[in-house]
Amino acid sequence: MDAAIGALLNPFSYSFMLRALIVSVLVGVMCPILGAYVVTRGLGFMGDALAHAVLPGMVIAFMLGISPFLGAVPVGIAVAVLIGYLSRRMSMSEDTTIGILFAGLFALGLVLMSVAKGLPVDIEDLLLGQVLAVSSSDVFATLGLAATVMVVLYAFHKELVFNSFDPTGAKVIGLPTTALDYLLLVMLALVIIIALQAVGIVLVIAMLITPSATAFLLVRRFPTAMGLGALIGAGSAVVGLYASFYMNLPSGPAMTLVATAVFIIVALARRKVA
Amino acid sequence: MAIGEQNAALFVEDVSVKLGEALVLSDITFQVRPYSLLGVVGPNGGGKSTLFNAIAGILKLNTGRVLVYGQPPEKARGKIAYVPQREDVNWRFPLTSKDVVSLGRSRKIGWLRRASKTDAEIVQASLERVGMWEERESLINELSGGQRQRVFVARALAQEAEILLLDEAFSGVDVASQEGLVTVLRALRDDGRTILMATHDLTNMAERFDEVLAINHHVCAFGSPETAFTPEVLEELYGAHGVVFGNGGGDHS
Repeated sequence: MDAAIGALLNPFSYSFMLRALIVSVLVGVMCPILGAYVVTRGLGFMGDALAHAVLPGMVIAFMLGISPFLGAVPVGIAVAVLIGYLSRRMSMSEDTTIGILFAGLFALGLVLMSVAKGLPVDIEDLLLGQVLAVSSSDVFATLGLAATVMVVLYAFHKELVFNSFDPTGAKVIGLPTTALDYLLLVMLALVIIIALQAVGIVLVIAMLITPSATAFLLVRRFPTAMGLGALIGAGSAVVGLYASFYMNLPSGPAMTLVATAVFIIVALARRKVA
Repeated sequence: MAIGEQNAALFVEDVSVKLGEALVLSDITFQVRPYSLLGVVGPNGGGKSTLFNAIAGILKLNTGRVLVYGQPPEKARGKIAYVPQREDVNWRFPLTSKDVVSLGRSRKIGWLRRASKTDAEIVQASLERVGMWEERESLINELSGGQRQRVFVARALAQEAEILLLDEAFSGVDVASQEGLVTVLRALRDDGRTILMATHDLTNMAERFDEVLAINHHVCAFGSPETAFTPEVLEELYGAHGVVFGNGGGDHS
């Protein structure tokens, strides 16, 4: 028993582990809260694309020696707005537009990374997440971004819900539906940027949709699903963090596997009940 | 009483709308008396939804004007409620009947504010009015087509709208529920609301509507449902085979 408690608490004698815990919990909570919209509005591909598309912003920030957040946030917002705009304006289908943009920007990030020698970051950490490496300024930036997203989602909840459910009806009643779409995309970009530290570019999509999808198997109401998703997400992130610490795994795959396992268990249990 | 631009519930004059290159609406002119139930009929793709969007003021007109109780639609926001076509709603989004009706209060509540007790009472009264209070905790996507339409009508009531636009309200609704919906709408009309319902179904027009507007990109006929559907009008709407269909379904006087 003591050994078990020790195994749970001992890692936190390292301050990097405490920082990692804070960021993991924030990622685990924020991703499914936005994820409830991602799942119900079918924005999964959009989320995946945004995650890849911020790479050049982060690489440029590393080249300039500034916080990767300072690079990723403006690029993330710009890409979110650009994707929103192009998917309205282009005659191509939305997923084609998104695909072209995200692959191009991701490639640009990879090329920049390869040209700029001696960056203080590993490509693997960017792609797969390395939450054990977050600095204290990363923790503060994460807290700030998470608080911003929470305040915005809370403040505009009824309008965002109306627009997600019935955009034409929302427009007729006089809501600025285009602005609301952009607002949601920008919030999505911010959450993705937070999540990149823990789960990496490639697996952000997992934290966005898996805990949220699990929650929708269990509860029916939208706000309840947000809350339950946040619990599942935070739990998956923390368990993944331990796995990362003890087994020296990249944190992204570890957290993703836990979240996926929870989803499979819940889906199977529900089938049995039904 | 003559209906003019000031006293019509809806005054539509010379409205043309182009979507891309296609002229979807051409020189549409009609007026709707207050407190009437108007059927807007025509083939799919004939411009019914576009007309509703023009009336609701969410679409740029190429020519012409729309007045809602004497005001342009942008100034009459909130007075018009929209009951969307099935395809325009995201049914994956999990809302209960009560949640959906509460959305109708969004504008009255305003930005950054939350629903009050009065809002909750209005939501309840609206659901009761359409006979859906019992189903308040049911998810909208688990309801039948007819029940969904009633919930959306309740949302329009919660919005305190004076004009209701129902787009293809009979699609996916069985015949018995269609009659139930018409009964609800007629009661709302008698309470002083003006209701426009788009449908491509010509069944029982005279029993359902006070007046009909037949459009197929332009106005083919406007007036009493008993007299509007001449063979010429039916052919304009649905082609030659429509005449047979229309006479079979629409002749019941």
